[in-house]
Amino acid sequence: MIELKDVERSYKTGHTETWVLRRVGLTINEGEFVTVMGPSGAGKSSLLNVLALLDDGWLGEYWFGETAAHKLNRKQRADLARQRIGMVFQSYHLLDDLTVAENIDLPLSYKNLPARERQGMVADILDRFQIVAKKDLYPSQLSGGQQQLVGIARAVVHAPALLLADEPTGNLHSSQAREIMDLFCQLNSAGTTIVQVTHSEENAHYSKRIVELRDGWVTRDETLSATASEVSSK
Amino acid sequence: MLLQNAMHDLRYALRQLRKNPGFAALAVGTLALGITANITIFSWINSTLLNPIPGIAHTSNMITIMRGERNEHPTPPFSYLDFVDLRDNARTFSGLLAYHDDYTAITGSGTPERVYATLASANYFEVLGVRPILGRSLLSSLKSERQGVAEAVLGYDLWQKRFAGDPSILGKTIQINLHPYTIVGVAPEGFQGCKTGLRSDIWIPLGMDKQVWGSNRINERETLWLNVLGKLAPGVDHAQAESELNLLMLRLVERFPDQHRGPNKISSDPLWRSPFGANAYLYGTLPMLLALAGALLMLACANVANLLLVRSVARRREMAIRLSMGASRWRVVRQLLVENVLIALAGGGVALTLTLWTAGTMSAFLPPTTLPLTLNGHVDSSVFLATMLISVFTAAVAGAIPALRASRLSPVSVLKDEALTTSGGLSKSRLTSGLVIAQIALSLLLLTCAGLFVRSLQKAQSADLGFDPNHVLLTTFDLDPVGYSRATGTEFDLQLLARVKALPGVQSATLADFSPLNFTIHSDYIQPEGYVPRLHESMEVDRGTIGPGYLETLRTPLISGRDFTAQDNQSAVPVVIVNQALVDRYWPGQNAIGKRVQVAGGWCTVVGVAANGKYRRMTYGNAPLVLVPMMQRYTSQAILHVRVAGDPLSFSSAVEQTIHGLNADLPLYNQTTLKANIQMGSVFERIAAAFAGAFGLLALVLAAVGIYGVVAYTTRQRTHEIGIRMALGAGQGDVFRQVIGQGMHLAIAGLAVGLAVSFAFTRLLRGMLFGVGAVDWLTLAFVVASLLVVVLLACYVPARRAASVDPMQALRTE
Repeated sequence: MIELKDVERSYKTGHTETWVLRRVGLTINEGEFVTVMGPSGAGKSSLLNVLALLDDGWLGEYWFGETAAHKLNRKQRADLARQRIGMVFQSYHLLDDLTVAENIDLPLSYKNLPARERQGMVADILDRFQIVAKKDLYPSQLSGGQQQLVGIARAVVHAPALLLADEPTGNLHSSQAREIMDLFCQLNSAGTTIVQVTHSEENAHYSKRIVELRDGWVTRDETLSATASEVSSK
Repeated sequence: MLLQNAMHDLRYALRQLRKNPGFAALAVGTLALGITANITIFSWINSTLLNPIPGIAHTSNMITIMRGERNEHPTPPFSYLDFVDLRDNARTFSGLLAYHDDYTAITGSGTPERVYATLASANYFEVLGVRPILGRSLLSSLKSERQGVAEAVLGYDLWQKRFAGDPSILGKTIQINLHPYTIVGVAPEGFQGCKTGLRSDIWIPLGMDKQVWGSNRINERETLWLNVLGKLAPGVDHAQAESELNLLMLRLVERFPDQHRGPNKISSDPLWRSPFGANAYLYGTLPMLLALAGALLMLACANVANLLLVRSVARRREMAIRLSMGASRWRVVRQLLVENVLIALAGGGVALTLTLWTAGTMSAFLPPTTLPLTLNGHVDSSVFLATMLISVFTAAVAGAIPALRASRLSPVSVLKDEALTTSGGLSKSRLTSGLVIAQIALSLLLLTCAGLFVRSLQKAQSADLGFDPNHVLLTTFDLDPVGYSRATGTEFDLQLLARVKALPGVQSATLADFSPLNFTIHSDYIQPEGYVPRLHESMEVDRGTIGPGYLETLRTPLISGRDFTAQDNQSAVPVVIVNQALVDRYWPGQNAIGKRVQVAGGWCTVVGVAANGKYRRMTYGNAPLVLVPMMQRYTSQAILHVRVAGDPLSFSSAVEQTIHGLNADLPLYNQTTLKANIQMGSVFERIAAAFAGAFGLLALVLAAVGIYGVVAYTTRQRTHEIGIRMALGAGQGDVFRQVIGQGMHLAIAGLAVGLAVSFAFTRLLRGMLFGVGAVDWLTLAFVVASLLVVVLLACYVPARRAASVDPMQALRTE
């Protein structure tokens, strides 16, 4: 589904150039649940931003299915991201002035869908995530876990093929984190390809594959024999 | 879909503004000030330049026709016989009309009512396209136009006020100056005649001139008394019409050379800059004021743009989330623009409400006058539309750059930066600084213009008028409507002067058919003895008809010769007094006393030379003037001038009783003082000075708010830096000076730009200034000093706040 070939990214600070991704080659198949790990400054978030097509300053090849993302211009990349990718953030990044339902509707509102269709999709996702009762609340009225639930609902409301999560449980306590990870597993089981960035070994073991970065280089790419959810279910 | 998205943006924008009422109020208020200034001036332009003839929608194919030099106070340029020849032979017009305005009175029932009347050619209403709402026009008088038919069309207001809108008024009789006229029609509401700003109340056929005003000029080719207005034939432009009229005029000059010795070149003007009526003065003043109002609006936009830029920092996270959720850049821009449009429309709404009042302020500048002036703006559909357009334009100007910048941020870097304490980067602070520099530059421009106009007005008002306006009471009356003949009228005038002079406290008294600086002086064609005019040189000069003791009463210095006396009557040798400017122009270096000058066809002997004075406008230079004695050239309409010891108005009842002691039924008009009356002579200068001054002050306030906002904001952003500086040993004074220095740097840059712009712009004002150059160093120095003081004051509070930062607290907040 995704293939990166020799992807590189650097930032210029004055006269010095700092490399955050070095010749990254990565293939992610449809339906995979991949965790990207590594110490701070290893390039995890940079890799995620490249995958999310939010970043334009990288070099190399990025194939999204049959589409050569590296050949697309900014607008075409934004269109591709809008249609195929969902993002979950560590800080949730819900808009404070919008209700839960309106936050979830946000990505749909940028897709030129008829209002009725959008309303149906939002209602479905509220129902699926069991947050119908909270649809008219504002983010400030929710707990951290609930906010992240809404953030994930917002990320998957348009049924993206790829869900990217940057430290999705970084601001949550452990029980809330487990709930979120279980939700990711459910989504993955339903066919959504997921790439998450995390520091947590525990969370990493919910995925099927761990990619480790150090100083921008891929230093480990390991497929796990059993995920944490499988272990716990056994 | 688009509508749904727009509604969504609208709802969200409303929510945002409700959530930030302080920001919304400041932005709306700032824009409202700028928009009010613009639509107030526009409302005036709309009711004068754009709608020169109220009640007629389309005047773009109409032109006024001028003969001779174009000036701001032309006399009517055509004789009736020339008009008829032009009308009957011109092919480039679908119609040519002629008219003449003057005062008359409605008599016959009770006290005569003074009205402004128009003698109109038979085709007057048809050429204008005005259809009476009752009855008919004057067209049926065409065959007997020269002889006249005693019929009248009433103005709508007169019909309403005097006849209570009587629907069966047609066929009834109205007395005009004691002569019966049949009412044949009522003009539509709003229509007031062909001169912008002057309202006629009644229209009668041209041929009735002899009966109403006792003149035979309709039969004289050399007497110029008619204004002519033409409607161009389809497909014809001004130039073609003008060249045809010049050709026809040339033939008339060849056929009647003795009657066409003056200038005969014909020029035409669209009605918006017609030399007849208020547009002659307003077509220069109002666009200039609109330009200044436009500068004020730009200043307000810069202020709001800065507010939006500051606010966009607080909304970076929101924009980043939207972009990362798939919002296109255009979508983000659109959402922000919707918010800006809402703010601007709210500003427009407030401005429209304010303009309901400000549109009517033009008449507040008009002193008491006998002139039927109707100068004012009003809020109509055009003003409403202009408000909407200006509001949307304002939203685009103020909001475009902040919106584009907000949409250009990188969601990656913003979302990664959880603390969100960045100020928006160096480029944003450069932009806000640039906007402040622009604000200071615009303020300097507006204040400089205001200063120039105020100084010009001061100079005009302190200029030597050539007479003493203090302690003089004026009272206007007209003897014709109460049945006086020339002989009885002259007797009345002499008796009146004798009785008034005998009143205790009265120092002197006289009569005149004009009062200075009130647009009431006339003009006449003269031929000074021994002077050979150049080919077609205009020999038109100002002419006043005055009673005995005029120079004494007005305290106009007599350079040589004598003032008029009661003995300068019909049985005496015709005499005139001329002013020094006339002597300098026609008899330079000669003694004018005893020389002869032909005035309106009759030879007169010069018996006195008066000092130059201001008679038309304060800002005009010295122009030749000839004064003829009222006892030799009778006029029934007269203004009594009474010089008193003390407050002139305290004498008004005594003067009134004296007049009514001679005739209890004589109506009196406009009892006022000469000092108040001459305010009319600088009315347009006062309008320009008042509004330019108001715009300048508003600009100063907006600049102060703008610079305060930016300095306060950037200082708050630098709290951490200031904390570090103080922790490393910077004193409070160092921090204070640094913040003040930041403001002063902006101020100096703004002043430099502003001075350059001012030098370029104020050159355009040269023609509107009196006694002061377009570059006036005193004004500039005062403006620059004022702005520097304002900038210092605006920086003081943020500087004090910065200097009192607790370094430990500042470092902890980071």
